[in-house]
Amino acid sequence: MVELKLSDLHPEVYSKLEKIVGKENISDDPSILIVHSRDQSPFANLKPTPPEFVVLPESTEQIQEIMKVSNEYKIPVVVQNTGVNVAGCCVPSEIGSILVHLRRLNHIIEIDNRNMFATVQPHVNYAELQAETMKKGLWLPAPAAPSTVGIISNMLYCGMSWCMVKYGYERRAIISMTWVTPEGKLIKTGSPSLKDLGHFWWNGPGPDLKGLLIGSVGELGICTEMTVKLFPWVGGAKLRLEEPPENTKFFIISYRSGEKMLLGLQELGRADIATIVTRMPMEWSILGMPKSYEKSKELWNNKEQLKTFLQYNIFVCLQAITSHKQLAYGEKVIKQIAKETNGLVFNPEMLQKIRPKNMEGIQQEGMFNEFFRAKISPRIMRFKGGFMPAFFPQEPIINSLKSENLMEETLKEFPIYPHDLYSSCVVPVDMGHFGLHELDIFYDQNSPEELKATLEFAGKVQKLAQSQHNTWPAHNEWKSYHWDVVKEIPEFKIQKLITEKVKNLFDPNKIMNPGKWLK
Amino acid sequence: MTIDLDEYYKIIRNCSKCAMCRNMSPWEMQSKEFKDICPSGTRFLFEAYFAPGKMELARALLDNEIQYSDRLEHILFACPLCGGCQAQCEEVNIINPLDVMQELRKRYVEAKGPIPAHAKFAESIKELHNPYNEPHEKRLDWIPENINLKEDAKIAYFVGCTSSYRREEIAKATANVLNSLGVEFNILHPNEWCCGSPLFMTGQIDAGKEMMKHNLEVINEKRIETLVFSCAGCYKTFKETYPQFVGDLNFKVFHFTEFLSDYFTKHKIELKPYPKSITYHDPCHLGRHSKVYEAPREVLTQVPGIKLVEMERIKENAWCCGAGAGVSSAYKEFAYWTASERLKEAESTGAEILTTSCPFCITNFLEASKMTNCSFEIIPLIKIIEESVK
Repeated sequence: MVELKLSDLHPEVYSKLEKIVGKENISDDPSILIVHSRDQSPFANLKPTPPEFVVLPESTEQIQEIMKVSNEYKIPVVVQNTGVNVAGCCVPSEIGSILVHLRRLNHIIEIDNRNMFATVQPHVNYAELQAETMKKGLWLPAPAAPSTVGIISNMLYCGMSWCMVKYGYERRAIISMTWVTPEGKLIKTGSPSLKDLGHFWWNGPGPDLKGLLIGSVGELGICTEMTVKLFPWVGGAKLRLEEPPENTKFFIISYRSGEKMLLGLQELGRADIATIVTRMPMEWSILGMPKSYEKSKELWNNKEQLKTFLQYNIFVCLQAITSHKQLAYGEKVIKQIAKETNGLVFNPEMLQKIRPKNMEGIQQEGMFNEFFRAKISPRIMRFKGGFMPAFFPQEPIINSLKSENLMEETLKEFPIYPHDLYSSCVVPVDMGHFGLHELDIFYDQNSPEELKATLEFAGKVQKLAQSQHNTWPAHNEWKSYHWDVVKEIPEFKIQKLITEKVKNLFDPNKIMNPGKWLK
Repeated sequence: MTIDLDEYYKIIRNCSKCAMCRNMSPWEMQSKEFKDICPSGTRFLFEAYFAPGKMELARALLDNEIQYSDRLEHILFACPLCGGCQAQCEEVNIINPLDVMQELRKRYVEAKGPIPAHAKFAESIKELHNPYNEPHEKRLDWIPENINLKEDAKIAYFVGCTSSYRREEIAKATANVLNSLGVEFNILHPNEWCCGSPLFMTGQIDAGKEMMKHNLEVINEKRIETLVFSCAGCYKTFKETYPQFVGDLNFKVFHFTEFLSDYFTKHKIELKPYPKSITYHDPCHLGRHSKVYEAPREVLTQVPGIKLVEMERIKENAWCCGAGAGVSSAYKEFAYWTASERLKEAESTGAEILTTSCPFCITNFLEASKMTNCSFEIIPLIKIIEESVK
């Protein structure tokens, strides 16, 4: 437990931190501190808490020194990187903490074209890395989040990608990490843990330590460098705004029923032809595609009319990576699957012709580019400001229908959600071995009632889903309905004990991002 | 600028902190080196200097969680109000950070008065009608003897303070080009005063309105139908700021690039070759603030021999020159740093010339270039046209 009050130690701690990062890179001015008091999540909005200092280190060594000071005085440390977080993980949850901002660790250290990997510091975001690697015919699959999110943050936060059917979860791309523990010690994972071996192997020696950092919400230390796998990119050096990238083709398969759509999703995963396969939620299409807020609003007000057009659609993206013939083959397979599952296949040009009038003029660029360098995903938040995936399980794809029906029923009791437009995102992962299911809800950050209702609802649906469908909560970090839920499950007792022991081992003074994971 | 911050409170609170406003559009990003869009945040690093931070500061001020301080003053005024953040946000959300920031400045000035450097030029504008502390009588010193002005012309050239006192070559070139093309025009002297841009942009709204009132009276007295500008800042002030206070203007306003682009096309003007590779910098007041992106490029590409080589950050994504909104007078080092970043980007194109269509940008680039080794020349766009229409 934190024993000392930071305010009593203020000048002493300040001068020690100043010596580490330099005068220009530390502040205790309220104008600097207040902006770190909340993020867009309901957790942080309910009780905004500013830190006591903000420091901007520029190296792993400086971070080690900061951790030593914080241990000496037992002061909590909260780490903020790109700040694109919707779960309250990167803002202080108690008074008197040091906020370590990673903005100055912003270098791409290496791009190895031959061995297809890149080593980056935390503040490097997806868009930046894509811009550099696409020139070399490589890329890291784009996150299903704004491409302004830090790569390391997204990986460690269990972030998703649109390309999970082909490449699996984002974190599977991690090769190695440099990691400062809460006590300021240095750990290297993977092949670089043995001197001069280079970046190629992620597992060991011994247990795969990287797993400890993934999903522990910054409670076990700070990753200051990460090496990630890159994959072949065939779309050209520059994204083309008006049409799909080179050697790329998009399709939409439209269904009349959810059951058939899920069958289609599963078959498309098994067929191993596509880079992207996803069921796009209606909200994303309505709120995310239009460039202007006014257009989004217009579509939202006419959402009932769009339901037939948007409700059961699967987006498929084919990329011809080794031969152009892959596109023709992939298209043939898509048509065959659609035929077998009663779906109708459209390419974007056909869709333009048949789409409802009020969908006209919506930029095609959104559809093409969002999947490669995400930009439109924050648009879904412009509707009400607050956004939260209320339901986020991993489950066999075919279970998604049960989950969807359960959610639809439950949502009727949730006062702030427009349940007349219910549809969730379903993404097959790893050739469809399982699916990720996401239901987003939106709330007004100005309304304490909506904030509370959102949190209550999220907790409720998680418990329901857990008890009725044996779903596995994908996002460990959604603290209100993950740890609180799973820790009560009797079978989880031993895992809970081990987890707590690991935390104690790494962070005996409990200074690292307290209250975000284990309570 | 005319937003009511109290009513805007809910919108500010709903900034999702997606961080799109920290970088240029990801879809158009071509390299990590030239990806930043916010000079203030990129230079001063703390989150408070980026637009999401400033939105949070606006909220905290409205909620009385913070007080005005030296640091807050720096955060609010060490920003060229280039609108890079707003251009990104417009495609994502509805926050309009630029409007919020201008309103925050206005409130700061109402509470604490203008910051010293801005108070100084405000005094000069009040007394001498220009921010450079120059005698008003010298405003016309730039004009060459051979220029033909027509007393009752319906077109007037609004010269602006920077072209009148600091970049006389731009004023001369503009007048020469209009003469060469046979355009009948006049100037407003001795009654042309500062357009008020430095005042409006630094939160000194009432003082800015005084300038507006005077200039509009003069223009109406002279029954001017078309006003042409060589300064992006003056143009933006007439086109965007004045109408916020007085409604639609009863005369047309054109930046010279718009005027010439149209004129060249309509009159099929033959231009002399200018065989150079040129990169063009979008001034914020002409580009993002007034949405004029194509006209300067059309003018340049109509000149035979010019090879337009674009930088990576252009149009909505352009990196600011760093001088605007009172930055060059209050935070010179920051203004030069921002300009130097742009010079590096211009250098990367391999162009022989960096050009732009704003005297304020040109001045800042020229000053910054003294501290760097540029392999290219910095030439105002109107000077290139002057060469080509001779």
